[in-house]
Amino acid sequence: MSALSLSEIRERPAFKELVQKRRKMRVTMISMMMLVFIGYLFAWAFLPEFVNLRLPADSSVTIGIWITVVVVLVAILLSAYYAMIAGKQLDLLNEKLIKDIHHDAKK
Amino acid sequence: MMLKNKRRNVSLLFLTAISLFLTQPMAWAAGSISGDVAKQALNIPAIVIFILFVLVTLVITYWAARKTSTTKEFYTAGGGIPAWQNGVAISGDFLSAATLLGITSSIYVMGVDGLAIIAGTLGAWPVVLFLIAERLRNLGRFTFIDVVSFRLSASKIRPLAAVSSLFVLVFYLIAQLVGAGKLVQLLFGLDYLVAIISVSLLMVVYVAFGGMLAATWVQFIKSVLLVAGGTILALLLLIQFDFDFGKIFTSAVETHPKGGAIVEVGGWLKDPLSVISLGMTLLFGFIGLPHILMRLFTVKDAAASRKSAFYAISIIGYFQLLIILIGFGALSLIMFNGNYHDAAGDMIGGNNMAVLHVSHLLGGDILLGFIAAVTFATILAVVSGLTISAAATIAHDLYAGTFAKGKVTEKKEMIVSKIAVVGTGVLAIIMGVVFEHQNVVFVSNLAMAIAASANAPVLIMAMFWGGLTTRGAIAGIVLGLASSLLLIVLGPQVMVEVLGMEQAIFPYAYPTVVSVPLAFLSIWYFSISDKSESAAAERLTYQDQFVLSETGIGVQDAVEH
Repeated sequence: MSALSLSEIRERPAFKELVQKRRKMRVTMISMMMLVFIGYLFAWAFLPEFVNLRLPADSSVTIGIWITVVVVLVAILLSAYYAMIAGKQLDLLNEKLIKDIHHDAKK
Repeated sequence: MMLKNKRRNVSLLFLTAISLFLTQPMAWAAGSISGDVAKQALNIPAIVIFILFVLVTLVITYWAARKTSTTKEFYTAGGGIPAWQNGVAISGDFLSAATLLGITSSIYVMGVDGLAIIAGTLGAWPVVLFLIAERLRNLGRFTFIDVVSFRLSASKIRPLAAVSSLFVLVFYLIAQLVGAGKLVQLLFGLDYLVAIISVSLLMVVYVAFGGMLAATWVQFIKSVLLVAGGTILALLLLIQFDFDFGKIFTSAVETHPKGGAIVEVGGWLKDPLSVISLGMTLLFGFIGLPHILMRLFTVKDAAASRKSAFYAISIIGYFQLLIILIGFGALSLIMFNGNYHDAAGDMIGGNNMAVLHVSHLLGGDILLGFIAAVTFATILAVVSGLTISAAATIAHDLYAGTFAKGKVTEKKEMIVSKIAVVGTGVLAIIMGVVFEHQNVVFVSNLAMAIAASANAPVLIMAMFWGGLTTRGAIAGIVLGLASSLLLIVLGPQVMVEVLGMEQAIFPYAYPTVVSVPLAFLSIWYFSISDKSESAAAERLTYQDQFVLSETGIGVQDAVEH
């Protein structure tokens, strides 16, 4: 792949669209995960009364235990969405782009 | 004053727990890893199950050896591992003996505070996936250094990055092996030296003959066994508590002398810097581990690499949830059980044995043997992964990429990589012997700190910042490496724990809070101030790299060349 054709690809609208969509997806996913991650750590550090609340009230299970489970589940769900659903759509765009490039290269 | 000291100790214990969990030697609580341990009676079921594991993996190695003749096959199994299988193997790199023993024991000792490590890991992993899985696969062939040196001066970057990468791998290996030796004494009643030599020998056989294909299968089988073992344990536990989750915690609170405090947060993470330090270590540490990054090259394309990271996260998450149950279950069942404590009231074998005692209580000698064997298999699988990564770094980055300037035959590189495997094995045995009576906690922290400070920043910048130049990358690696080494040595883990001083010069167990920002800043500063012609050319090529990293065009050519 020569430098010339790479710069040609870079100017394609399909490439720009792919890059933009992927960037938006990455930023959204990372912000969501970081929000949960940082929120968790800060709750642990600075809101002990909240983290120590029992839920349900007559049990020995604290909010701390619940939010740990929630972080684990959120991590899995976000990854699933990124890897399986959003990623698949972006893969399709990517494949189409590559196919077009090969097609144009033959001309 | 006393109180303050105590608090510092607790937070130190925690950071230690985290690092051990990440770098996975088995013993977290000072008990078995820092001191000598007593040899236990021979455990027959454990030995039988473990021998079965070894036989199966040797057969697989024989099969893999026949499919491994090129460097590409050796380093990355030809890029032909299915995503789901690779995902299980990645999770295997994480679900270590330390997860099973260390996290359980930290819950056992400190209750709910131990959960923060679990959430921290799971919070950091997806970010790795979103940020690097795809671009890494699109830009690299065998090691993450391929990606770092993609558009920079490879002859300058490769040797440096290889050195910091080898630091991580070797420190990690030492921590593993010393832990393994002690664990084997405890579990199998075998001699320390016998354990070290047998682990090193097996690891060399797997990797030298079967390469990445064998290493992946060993990791895969072990991971399946570990998750199965965890599931059985959790199920037996739930049966014990009538499938009522709440009952496990209630019973733990009733058993523990601290009562309700066991489900409440303790005095950990009290200042913002500790919080930042923890977050950074988890996040950047993961991004900088060479043997994990290398796994992302064993699948066919970026999509497969992304999927394997997702499978890994799911398995890790599932297992961590089991660990919460097992930890609190152990707390309520074992704590005052006379069978598992000596006359002085200490747990037999140290607190790390909590999970093994619980296995014995719930499933007798057979389950104990199974869990013990799986724990040993885990060590073996992890050191094999480290060895293949070290071999790739030495043969691909140092030998072929630096000294021979790329002009080597496939055959020659293969020979060098096999010599590297054997060399790693020999080094492992020597280091294992040298460090037998040392406290290796700081060694594993070093591995993690270097990964986070020297490897991760430069890798992220190489993939995402067009302004990066060779000079900036060199500055980042050197300063990241030097500052993390220095601050660990000046930190409490070496000065207080090892040297026995009153106070450490650097107050935090983890240097990442300083060394990671320092690495990023120096990369940035030494790049923008680089006015050389080569730097200008490097900035320009980012445009091409960008196209390749986003589309994956040219991956095939790159791989076959």
